[in-house]
Amino acid sequence: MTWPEIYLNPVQGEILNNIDLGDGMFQLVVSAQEIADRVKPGQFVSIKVQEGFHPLIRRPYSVWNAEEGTLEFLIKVVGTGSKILYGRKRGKIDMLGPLGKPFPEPPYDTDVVVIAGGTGIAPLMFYLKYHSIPKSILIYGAKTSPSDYLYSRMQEVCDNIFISTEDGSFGYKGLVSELVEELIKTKEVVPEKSIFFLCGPHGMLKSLDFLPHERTYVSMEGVMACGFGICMGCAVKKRNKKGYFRTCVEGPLFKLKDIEL
Amino acid sequence: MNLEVDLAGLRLKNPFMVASGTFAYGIELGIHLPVEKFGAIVTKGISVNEREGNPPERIAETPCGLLNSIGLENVGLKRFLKGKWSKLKTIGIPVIVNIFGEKEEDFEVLAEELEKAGVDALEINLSCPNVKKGGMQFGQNSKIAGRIVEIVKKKFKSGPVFVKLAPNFVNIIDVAKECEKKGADGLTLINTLMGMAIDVENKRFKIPSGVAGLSGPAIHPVALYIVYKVYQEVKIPIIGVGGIYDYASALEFLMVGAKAVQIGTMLFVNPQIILEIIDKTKEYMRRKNISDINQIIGCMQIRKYRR
Repeated sequence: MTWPEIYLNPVQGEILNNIDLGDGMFQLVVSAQEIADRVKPGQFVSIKVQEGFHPLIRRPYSVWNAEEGTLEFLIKVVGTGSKILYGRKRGKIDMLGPLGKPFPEPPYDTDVVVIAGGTGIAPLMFYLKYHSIPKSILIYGAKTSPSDYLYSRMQEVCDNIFISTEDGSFGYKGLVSELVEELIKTKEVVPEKSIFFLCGPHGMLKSLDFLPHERTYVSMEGVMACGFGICMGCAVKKRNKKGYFRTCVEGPLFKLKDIEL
Repeated sequence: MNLEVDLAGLRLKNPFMVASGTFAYGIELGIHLPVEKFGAIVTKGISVNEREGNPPERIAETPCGLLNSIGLENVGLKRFLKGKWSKLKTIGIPVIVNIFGEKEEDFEVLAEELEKAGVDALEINLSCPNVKKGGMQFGQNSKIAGRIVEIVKKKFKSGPVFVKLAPNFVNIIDVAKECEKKGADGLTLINTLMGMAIDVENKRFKIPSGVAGLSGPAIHPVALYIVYKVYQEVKIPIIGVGGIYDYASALEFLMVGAKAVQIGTMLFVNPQIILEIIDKTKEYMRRKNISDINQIIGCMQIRKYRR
C-alpha cells in the first residue's frame, strides 16, 4: 500500500469559535495553520479533547472545511470526548493531522452523488466545495431537520439538495435509504451515470448496500487508538477476502466492493 | 553523559524502546519519525502463520487506560522475513522480534528461522490475553513457560531471549524464576492486565469477546510493583513496561531495577513521546548531576538487593 503523507508532530490549535447547531451538533472552529494548509477533503484530525489522562486517547474528526489557516469541524455529542469538546469554548487544543488518505479527484463526466447521515456530511461538503464539482447531488438524512445554518452551508456547496428526516419535519419523511430509492425511481439519481460517496452511521451505510459496489465509496469511522497506522485498532473487514483494512491509513475512504459493512 | 545500557549483551544507546504491539512492525513510521534515536525497536507479535486478528471493536477506552483485543494480527513469519525484516535491519538500532506460538513447535520454527535471519534478540510472548490458544495459558504455567524458553534457547543463538509475562491469575515470581532457570536472558514485565468494560445502555461488552488487555497510565503502579518484586527474585535483567507517560514514570522503572523500559499506549497519543522522554531524561540527569544512567538503575531497591 502507499502510506499517506502523515504529520506526527502535535499542533497546538487555538479555539476560535464553538457554536451549538441544535440536534446535538456543534461547530468547532480552530486556528491551526500547519494543518489547514495541508488538509484535503476526506482527511481527519485527531484531537486530544483536553489535557491529562482521561479521556486518554485522541478523537478522530473529519474536517468540515479549511481555509485561511482555520479548520472547521461538525461534531455530534455522543460520548465522553465530544461532550468535553462541546464545552470547550476557548483556549489551546492539541491536534494531530492531517491523517488518512484524501478522497480521490472527482470525475468530470459523471454525477457525483454524496449521501450523508448526520455529521457524516462534514467530509462530503468539504469535498464538494474543494473541487467545485459541477454536477453534484447532495442527499442528507437525519432524525430531524438540519439547522438553518447547516442548511445554508449545504446550499453553498451544492444546488441539488435532497433531505430526509425521520420525524418528517423537513423534506422526505423516512430514512435516507428510502429517499435514495425514491430518487432512483424518479430518475433524479441515475446509478449507472453516477459515482456515490457515503458517510454516516453504520446502519445507514448498511441500508445503502444496494448501490453499485464498483461505483460507491464509503468513508468509514472507527474507534482508533492512534490514527496513524500502528495500533491495528480500527479494523474494517475486507469483503470476500480474509483480513482487515486499517481505517486510518488505508482509508478512511473505501470502495464498497472492497469492504464488508 | 552516558545513556547507554547493556541489556543482556544488547548495547542500547538509551534504555527507551517501544512496546510490542504498539509500533506495528517498526518500519511504518520510519520516514515520519526519527526511529533510529530509540534504544531499540520491538516488533508486534509474529506467529508462524498469518493471523487476521479479531473482529472489531478492538479498542475501548477506560479511565486513564485502554482496553485492546487486536488478536495478534500479523503477516506471519514468511512475509515478515521477506517484507519487514529486510527494512528493519537497515534502521541501525537493535531490533527485538516478539514471537507468539499456538503450540510449542511453533516456537521452535520461529526461533530457528529468526536465528537464520540474524535478528538481534527475541521476546517470547507468553502473556497475550486476546487469543484462544497459546498466549497467556503458556505463561500461566511455569513448567510450560520454562519448556518454551528451553526450546527457543536451543535454536536461537544470535542474541538474548526475553520473556514477556503478565500477572494474570498466576504467581509471576514462580514463572519468572522458572524462565530464568531454563536459560531466559531477561524478562519483559508486564504485558497488559486482563480487563473488560460493558456498554450498559445496550447490554453489550465494549469488546465483543468480553475480555481484553488493559494498558495505559492506569496500570503503571501495578507494573512498577511487579518489576520491584521480581527484581528481588531473579538475576537476569528486566525490561519494565506498563503505562509509561513521561520521563519520570519511565525512570521509576529504572529506579526499581529495570535495565530498560518500553513505551506503548502513550505513543498513540503522542508519537513524539520517546524522543521527549530521552530529552527530559538528559535534562534530569544534568539537573541531578548524574553522569551515567546506570547509576540510577536499582537505586530504589532495598540495600540487600542492589546490584
